[in-house]
Order: sequence, then C-alpha cells, then structure tokens
Amino acid sequence: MDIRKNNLLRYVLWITLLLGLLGIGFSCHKKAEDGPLQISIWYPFGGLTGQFFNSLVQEYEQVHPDVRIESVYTGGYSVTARKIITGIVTDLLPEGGIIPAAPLFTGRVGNYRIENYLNGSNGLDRNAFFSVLWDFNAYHGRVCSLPFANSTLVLYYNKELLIKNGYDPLRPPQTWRELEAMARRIAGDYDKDGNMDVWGVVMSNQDWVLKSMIVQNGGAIIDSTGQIPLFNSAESVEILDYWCYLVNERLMPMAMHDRARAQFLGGRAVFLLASSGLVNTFITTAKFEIGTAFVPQFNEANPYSINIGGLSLALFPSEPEKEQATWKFFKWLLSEDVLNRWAVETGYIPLRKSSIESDLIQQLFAEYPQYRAGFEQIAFAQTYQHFWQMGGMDEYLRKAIEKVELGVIKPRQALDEAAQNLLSDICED
Amino acid sequence: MLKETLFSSKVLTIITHLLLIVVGVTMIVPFLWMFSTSLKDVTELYEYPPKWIPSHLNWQNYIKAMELAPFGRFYLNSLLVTFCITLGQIITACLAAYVFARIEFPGRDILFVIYLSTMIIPVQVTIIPLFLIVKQLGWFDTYQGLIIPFIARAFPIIFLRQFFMTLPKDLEDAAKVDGCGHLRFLWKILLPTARPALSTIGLFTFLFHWRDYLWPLVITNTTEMRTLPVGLRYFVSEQGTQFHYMMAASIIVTIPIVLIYLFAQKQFIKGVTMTGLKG
Amino acid sequence: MIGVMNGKKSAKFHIFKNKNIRRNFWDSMLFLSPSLVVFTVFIFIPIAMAFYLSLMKWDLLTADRQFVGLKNYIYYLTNPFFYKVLLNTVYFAAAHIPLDLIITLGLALLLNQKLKGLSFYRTIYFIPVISSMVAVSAVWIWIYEPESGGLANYVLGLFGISPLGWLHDPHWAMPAIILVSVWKGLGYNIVIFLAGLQNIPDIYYEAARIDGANAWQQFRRVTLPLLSPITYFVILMGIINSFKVFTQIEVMTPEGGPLNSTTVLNLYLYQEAFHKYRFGRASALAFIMFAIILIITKIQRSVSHKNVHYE
Repeated sequence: MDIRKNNLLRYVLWITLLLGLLGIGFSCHKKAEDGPLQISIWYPFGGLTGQFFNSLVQEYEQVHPDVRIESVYTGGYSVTARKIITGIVTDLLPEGGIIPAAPLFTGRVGNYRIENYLNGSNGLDRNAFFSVLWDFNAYHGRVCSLPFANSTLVLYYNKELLIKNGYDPLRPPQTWRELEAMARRIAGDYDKDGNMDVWGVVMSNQDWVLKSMIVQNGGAIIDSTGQIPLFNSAESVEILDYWCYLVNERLMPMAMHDRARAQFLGGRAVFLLASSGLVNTFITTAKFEIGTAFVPQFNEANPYSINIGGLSLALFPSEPEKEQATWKFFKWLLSEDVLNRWAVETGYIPLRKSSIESDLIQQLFAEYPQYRAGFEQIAFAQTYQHFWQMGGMDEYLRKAIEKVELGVIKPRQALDEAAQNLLSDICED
Repeated sequence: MLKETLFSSKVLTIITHLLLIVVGVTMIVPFLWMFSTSLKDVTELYEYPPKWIPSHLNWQNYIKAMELAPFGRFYLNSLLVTFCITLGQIITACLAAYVFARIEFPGRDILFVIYLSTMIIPVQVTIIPLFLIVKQLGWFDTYQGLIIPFIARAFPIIFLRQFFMTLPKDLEDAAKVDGCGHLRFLWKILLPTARPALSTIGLFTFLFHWRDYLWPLVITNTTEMRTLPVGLRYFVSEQGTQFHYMMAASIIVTIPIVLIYLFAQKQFIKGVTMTGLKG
Repeated sequence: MIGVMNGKKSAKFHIFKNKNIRRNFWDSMLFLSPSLVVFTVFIFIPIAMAFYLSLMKWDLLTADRQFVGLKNYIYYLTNPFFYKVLLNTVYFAAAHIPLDLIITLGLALLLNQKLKGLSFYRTIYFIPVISSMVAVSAVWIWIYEPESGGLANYVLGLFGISPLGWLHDPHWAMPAIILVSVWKGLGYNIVIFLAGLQNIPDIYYEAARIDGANAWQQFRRVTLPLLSPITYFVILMGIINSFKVFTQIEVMTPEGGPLNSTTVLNLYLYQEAFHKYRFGRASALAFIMFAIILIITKIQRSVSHKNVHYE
C-alpha cells in the first residue's frame, strides 16, 4: 500500500509538471478588442502633477467618446527611461508618452513620424510656439517630438529674510554681484557654533545652473553637431572660478546640492536656483513668502539668456488609426486652453507665445506673481539639440563641480577632464 | 550560594533587557519620525529645526494618501502575487533541496554550483532578456508574468538544503524500516521536521517579493495589475515628494505585515517544539 | 564552491544504496524538474543572452551592433576607475559582513533566552526589514542631515563630537550607508540565527554544564560549532548580497556619493547600462562581478571547510 501511494504521488507530480509545461507553451493569448479605439499614453509624474494629467485624460475622453486613453504611470524619470528602452527592444511601446529626453528615443532610432502630422493638413502652427522649443525637440536638425512640460531655471528668494535685513522684497538682485552683496549681508553663523545658520545661495540643479551661466557669459556647451564639447573654454572657467569663490567665502554650502531645496524651504538659504516647475510646490510648502526672479546675469555686457529643460510628447509607431488618434490627443494637449491650464496647475511654462496675455495666466500672475519669472523667461531661452551622450555630459559636469567645490582640483582641470571624458564617450559610440 | 546565582541571574536579565531596549530604540526611532511626518501639514515638512510633534495632527493625511491611488487593489495584487510566488518557491525548493541534500547522482554537485551561481548575476543585465521572454510567452501585464518567473529561486533551495543536511540521522533509521521511496520520505518525515525552516524561508521569500518594485513596474502597465511598492512611488515626484502622504501610506502598508510576522513568529517556535528535537 | 558539501556524502546516502541508481537518477530529475524548467526559461536563457551581449558593442536601441570579442572585458580590467569601484565594494563588504554577523549573533543569543517579552523585541527588530526602502531612506536622509540639525549629528553632539557631513563627506558617506544597511537587514539574520539556535538540542548544553563549562565555554564549545553551518550560510549570503548591494546606495546617493565614494560595482553597472546605454559593456561588467564573487566564495569555502560541523 505504501508503495502504491508513493507511486500515485509520483504520477501526480509528473502530470502537474507536464501540464505546467503545456501551459507555458500555449499561453500566448490575445485580448479581443471591441468598442472604442484604445490608445495608451505613458507619463512619469507622481503627486499632484500626475493627478492633474489624469484629469486631463478623463476630460478628453468625455469629449471624445470614440477613444479610450489608458494613461500609465511609469515611475520617476530614470525608471521611465528604462521602461522606454525595454519597450523599444521588445517592441512593446505605447502609442505615445510624456518622455524625458524624448528625441533620444524617437529621432535617434529613426522615428520622425511626428513631422508628417505636424506639417500635415491637421497640423500645428509652429510659429505659435517659442522657437526654442522646436530646437529642444530636434535630433540631427529634425523635429521628432513635441514640447509639453518645459521649465527654465529661476531664482527663488526668501522674502522674509530680505525684509529682515532691510532689502526691498520686490527688488531681487539682477546680477551676480548684487546677489553676492545681498547674500554676504544676510548669510551667517548667527549662533556662532561653527555652522552656518543661513546660507547665501543654494542650487538644486547645479549642472543646469552651470550651463546657463556659461552661455550667459558668452561661452557654449557643445557644437551644433553634438560632437565637440565646448564647455571648457575661458568663459566657463571664469564661471567655475566664481563658483569656487562663493564656496570659499561661505556664501554657498560645499557639495550639498541635493539638500538645496530642503535648505531653502527650511529658511536656511536666502536664494535658491531651481527649476521653474517647482513654483507650485514651493508656494504651498514654504512657511514664508517666496519671491521669484530671473536668474541673475553674470556678464552684464551680454544679453540675457537661459537654458531650458523638460519633457516632451513622443509619438511611437503603431497602427495608422491609433497614431492618428494619438496625434489628435497631443494636439488637444497643446491647444491654448489646455496648455494654459496645465501651466497654472503644474508650474510648467505655457508654451505658446500668446499664452502669457491670456486671461487665465494674467489672473494667475495677479494672484501668484511668483509664476511670472519662469513664464516670462522663456522668451530668452536657448538650448542645444539633444545628443546621445547628453546625460553623460551632465553627469561629468556635476562631478566636475563637486571636485571643484571640495577643492580636489582647479576649475580649469575639472572642466578639461569632463570635456575629455565626454569626448572619449562620443568617439567611442 | 543559591541567593548569589539568583541575584546574578537577575542582574543578567536586567542587562539583557537594557541591551535589547537600546537596540530596539535605534530600530524604532526612524519610524517615530515617519509617523510624525505622516501627521504633518505640508508646510511643516521642511521646517527647521525639525519638530517631532506636528502643530496639528492631520489624520486626514492617511485618508488622502489612500485616495491618491487604488491601494485596495494594489494590496490585493501584492498579496496574491507574493503568496503564489512564496508557495511556488517553497514547493520547488523542497523538492530540489531534497535532491541536493540526500540523493546522489552523477553531476549533482556541478548542478548545485550552477543553481547557486544564479544568485550572483545582478538583475540589471538579465532584466531586458527576461522581459523579452515573458513578452514572447504573452504574459505582459498579467499575473503569470508577475508570478511564474519567480516560482523557483536558488536562495530557498540552498537554505532548505542546509536544514535537510543538519537533520539528524535517526530520521533515516526510521525510514529504513520499510522500503520507503524518496517522495514519501520527504513528505512524511523530512518536511514535518523542517517546519521551522519552511516557515522561515516562507517568510523571507514573502518579504523579498513583497518589496519588489522594479519588475512589477516594468512588466505591468495597467493600474489594476500593479502592486503596493509601485503604489508607494506615486507620491514621489521630481516636483517635490509628498512625504506626508508617502509616510502615511508606508505605515498603513507595513502594519499588517508586522501583525503577520507576530503571528508567524509563534509558528516558528511551535514548529520547533512539535518536532521534538529539543531533547 | 560551497563548503556545505561536506566530506561525508557516501555515509549519508547509505540507506538508498541498495535501490538501483537509475531510479535515484530519475527521481532526482523529477524533483529537480520544476526548478530546472523555471531556471532554464527565466534565468539561464537570459544569462546566456546577456553573455552574448557582453561580447558586443550595442546600445540595444539601434540596429548598429558590432561583435567586439573580449574588448568589453579588457576595457574594465585596464580601467583604473573600475578598481576604485571594486575597492569601494570590498570596503562595503568587509565592513558590513562582520559588523552584521557580530551584532545579529549577539542579539540572537540574547533573544534565545527564556525570558518574558522577547517576542516583542523580535518583532521590533524585524520592522525595518519589512518597511519600504523608499520611505525608510527618506527618513535616513533626514537623520544624516549634514549640518547641525540632523539626528545623527545631535547624537554625536551628546558625546561632544562635532557634526559630520555624513552622506556629503567623501570619508563618511560609505560608513553612513553601511550603518543603514546593518540597521535595515538586522532582522533577517536574527531570524536565521534564532532558527539555528533553537535547533541545538539541550542535551549538549547539559553535558557541557556537567563538565563544568561556564557560559563562555558553552558558547565556544557547543553553540559556535553546532551553529557553524548557519554561520557559514549567513556569511555566504552576506558576501553575495554585499557585492550586489544596490538599492540603499542608489536611493541615498544616486550619483555614487561625493567623489564617487559610494560607487559600488552594481551602481556602476547600472550607470553604464541605463545612463550611457552601453548594454554590451555593462553585461561584461556583470560577468566580471560574477567571477569575483565566485572566487571569493571559493576562498570562503576553503577557509571554513574545516570549521563547519554537521551532526
């Protein structure tokens, strides 16, 4: 009896195994699709931005009952990039998405399909948008994605600290010399414990700040082909020298850029340089009144200028019907009213030239003047085209800044080293 | 003499408790901060110097956090997926561990080394090929895709093998009596004895996959298929993480597992005494 | 490679000796098949694909791929930065494993006593293991606040030590990460050690007591030897996991810490693959990691071979 039972168990096990194998073999199934056209859109926003984007999707579905949009949250920016790569490799991309560094995942893999729609009969008037946005969304000179969630750097300042030290809170510094003078007076170790209680200036996107300052000082970042790094010129070294000086004078903390937001929001820094996309969060989170201004000029002889950053709408290959539907949705997102509401809710820049005059935006300015700096600054924005190693470049720049701040090497060396690294990456790829 | 030992044992007990309390405090302090943050108003998140007690207890943070994403569904998914993975891993591990511990056949040791070495390869490089395979099977955005690739892992196999090897020889003598086959020996004798090891490894497997974030995010697209760790990231954003909601959600998510652990812990001890190994 | 292959094989299998070997083989195959199938489809094939990739220069996204042979491997082995990263990883492992071992074994011994309220502590120690790394690391980043306001610096202040930069100081970033890792993983090994301790029959202690052994001698002569398979297992897992450490480092110092002081192998691999899109090269790094861990576990095996006891 024992043996029989034993065999029975054995058979059961074998059969389960076979069934399991069969299951693996035959489980390739397809969902039947009926009803409205279904498209899927990826987005990388958590928090309030994500919620608002979803409400936009719902609104669109109500107006267009023939389309169902599945909006998929794809994690933060870096995880989204991972999902996109996996999607390209395995041919499992959505119809569209809001993607960081989108041209690298469209234009670079030969996907310029957005051009046809853009120029087609149901296209968009490119001139209605700031031209810098089209540069931003180009790869090798051709547009391959659409602008949507863009921001610039702005100067945030703590109005209370300004008032306390006898400054007019409505007159923020316009140049770095002014900023430095104000910072010097306000910053300090009040309780004399050897630690600074209030810093002069902190920066949360240090590589972005550096690039913007270089350009404003008359330097350049990279040549138009994306092949030769230009950020180690004399203009750039001058910027990094000044940077070093700010740290040595204890106006800026040493190598703590990831704490910059917390330091500013905790009232421990007078000025903060950060993305204009944070304005909404800052207004609601700070205990003190926040002011914003254009990023100060470093070289007063040169015209005003700033670098933009952001995420773009990418159209991925799919059936013509779905591509058409996705284009329509994108076009709706870029319509003036939706764009303006998007800007109001999220702090991303309204991308149309006419937006700033609209009632909605003017109303916003009246209520929250803090939005103004970021929105107006885009008129002075410039950018370089996306190139494959740009992520690596930003990393090298951050490392260079860190080394200089920690006093490991001199600015000249640091920038040359970063340029050397980038160049060898470019040559290799 | 007797008094002395009693006294010294009392002192020892006190020292033991003191030590355990000191460690316990270090374990718990970060969670107190988490709890305090979960009750804060958004304007207090970055306050400096930091305050331990919020000016007002915002219990509604918990409700709001739960409303931000379908956490009920995430919870159910997490439970289902993790439970199936755990069960699968225990079954596959029992069978494999038995072979590696008690049956000899040519090539066994090499195979074991191969099994073991699967733990060494970092997931970063295998995730894309794995994704390709799962997609080929048509399991993208399905429970199969979340579960089946993980129903066998080297860790529980090695863990159980260790335990099977340490079990005393008396067990084998008992088995010798009748011509009892491997399956029966495993089922009737080894498994009941290895109960504490089974519950331990079950717990580990459960926890490990309970926290898994990357694979569920990559392999699922629809909100209905997503799991809790993915849900917790809904609060993280480049535009400022909603720490108060994130902490609230983390606490809600953690508490049931703590309770399960409290319960499972009793099972370990029971398992040990039931085997009669204690002498 | 694994020390648990003890030298008593043949003695162990004697009960089945008279059964025929063929049946043993088929039973083994049957028992192994579920795991073997899953491993083959979801682990071995992906690994084989990754190995193929490691011989290529390819970003996965474009059709442009190139067979480069061992070039990717040579690139790392001749790259000074690779050795810096390797050193960081060894630093992490060399500090984390012993620290973790001593603390968890000590706590497990304390918790193994017959005292009231111990299950409460056991639960408390296990909470960090359960909790989500994202939330926990947010708390630890706050604890490690580099200026005077952080909790860690406050505690140092109580002992009259001036504040540290922690995650922002090239010298302290790694210790800070190690501390969090120990804190987070403590509960795991305590459970393993407790299970092992409870498996040691009381008779051994009684025998030792009759011989007049004091507590320390009992620990040396009974607990340690009988616990050695478990200790071996814990160390083995410690080595594998330390060399693969990733999550806590990626969440707390995403850029690899000040002056790359916390850039470990797995983070480097991640950056190569997903920041620079060099998938071929990253795969090569994975296999180099694999070889390193294999060698170290091999060394561990030969060291502990004599010291691991089985009943």
